[in-house]
Amino acid sequence: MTVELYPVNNAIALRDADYPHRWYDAFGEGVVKYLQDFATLASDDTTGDATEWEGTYIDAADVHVITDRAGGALLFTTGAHDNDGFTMQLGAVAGENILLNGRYPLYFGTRLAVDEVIQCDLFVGVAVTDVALAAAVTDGIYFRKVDGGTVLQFVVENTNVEDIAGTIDLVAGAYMELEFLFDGEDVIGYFNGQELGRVNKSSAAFPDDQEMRLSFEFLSGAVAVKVCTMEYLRMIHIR
Amino acid sequence: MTVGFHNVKRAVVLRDNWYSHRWYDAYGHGVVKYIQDFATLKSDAATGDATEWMVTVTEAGAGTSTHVVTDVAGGALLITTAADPLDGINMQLGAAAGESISLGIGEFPLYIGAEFCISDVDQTQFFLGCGVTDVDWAGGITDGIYFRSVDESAVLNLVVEQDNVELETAMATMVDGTYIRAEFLYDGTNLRAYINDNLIATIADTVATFPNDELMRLTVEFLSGAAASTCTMKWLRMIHIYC
Repeated sequence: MTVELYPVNNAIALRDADYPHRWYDAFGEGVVKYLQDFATLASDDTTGDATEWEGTYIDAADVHVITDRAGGALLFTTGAHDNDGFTMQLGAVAGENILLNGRYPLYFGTRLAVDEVIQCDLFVGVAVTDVALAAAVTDGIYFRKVDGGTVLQFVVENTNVEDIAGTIDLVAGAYMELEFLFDGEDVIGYFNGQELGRVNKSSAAFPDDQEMRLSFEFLSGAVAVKVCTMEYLRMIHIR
Repeated sequence: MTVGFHNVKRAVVLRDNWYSHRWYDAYGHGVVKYIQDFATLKSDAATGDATEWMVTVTEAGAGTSTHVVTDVAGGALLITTAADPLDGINMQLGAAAGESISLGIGEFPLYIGAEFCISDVDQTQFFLGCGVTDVDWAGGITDGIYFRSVDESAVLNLVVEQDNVELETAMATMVDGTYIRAEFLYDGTNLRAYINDNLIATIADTVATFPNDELMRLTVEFLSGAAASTCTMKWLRMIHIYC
């Protein structure tokens, strides 16, 4: 079997048998999750904005919409100005539901591609409520790439203290699978199924005292339209 | 156990142990799905339109064409047409775009099923399945696999269509106000279609009409053929494993 049942606290996770860090779903006590394969996305009838997210959209031309792609995908298209784009956090104005102050596992995963890797900002993971994520957040676990570079960083951060646990160079247009799993002891980042780096919960950079939420930011880094295509997005947390 | 695990590609499917063509859910690599029991439906607070669907409403005649969750044990969606012929609703999963189903370049399984009843089976038009983006299925689409019942007929047909070339197979004669379960499963080699748990048709994916070169999306269309009519849908599922 390529998907296996895995008991976690008082719940059960469905995880990949070949890549056990990859969780597909979970059921049981304390499970909070957001699972999207982007066959569709609940969107406002008038604005087109995703209705399950708190979104900050810089320019009227910033559009996020379901697109034609085998297996489903969400297409983000920025406006044509520097720093046009999206900051999206799951929930509403508030909505922090992730707290890692104990052995409370957390899985995060996505597969996405950006059309140009240098002239854009990308931030995806979990963080405190903030409308400018790539610029700086106080607490989070996330993948970050800032404008002007091609390096994607796996960052674990507590009270503005960062541990950049791993880095990798991105390639324009290439789909990448970004995941991390906090198993109650270590948070381990993965790039395309391979470990990128890990941080123990005893680290000063481990965010164990702030509630956080699923977060995404994609901004243009030049006077040009940039595109990000996301195939899936999953967050599974067991409290 | 009445529901069992079944390995498909790099995913696991929960399927009925008695009716193994009936898939309830799937988890794993490459799964894309839409599963609705209509306990509720995400809908726009202002318009009432389903927010996960591209909805095209036609209501030239008296009354309105609506789609709303209704009172039925187990949950249901009630689609009501306005009173003129061709009034009704076309719903395609996603937004203006949203084709997520690919049956080409590989063997990618697909299950689509629903249980529904129609108030007047020969004075309505009904379409259920997957097809290319098109807001007027009654006017004809180019590619798809779907159940179809046209105006002036109570017969529900299965259509397998590529590039406007159809293979049509009669599946059942529907009865006013009587629920019917219509399902098909493409296992990567053969398409098998079922009505009320019975296998009615088996079509190999080697037929010329098999839509293997277009992306498609889950679609429901229900139109009046004469007067205001209703379609009540108790559940709707699409499960596709693309990997």
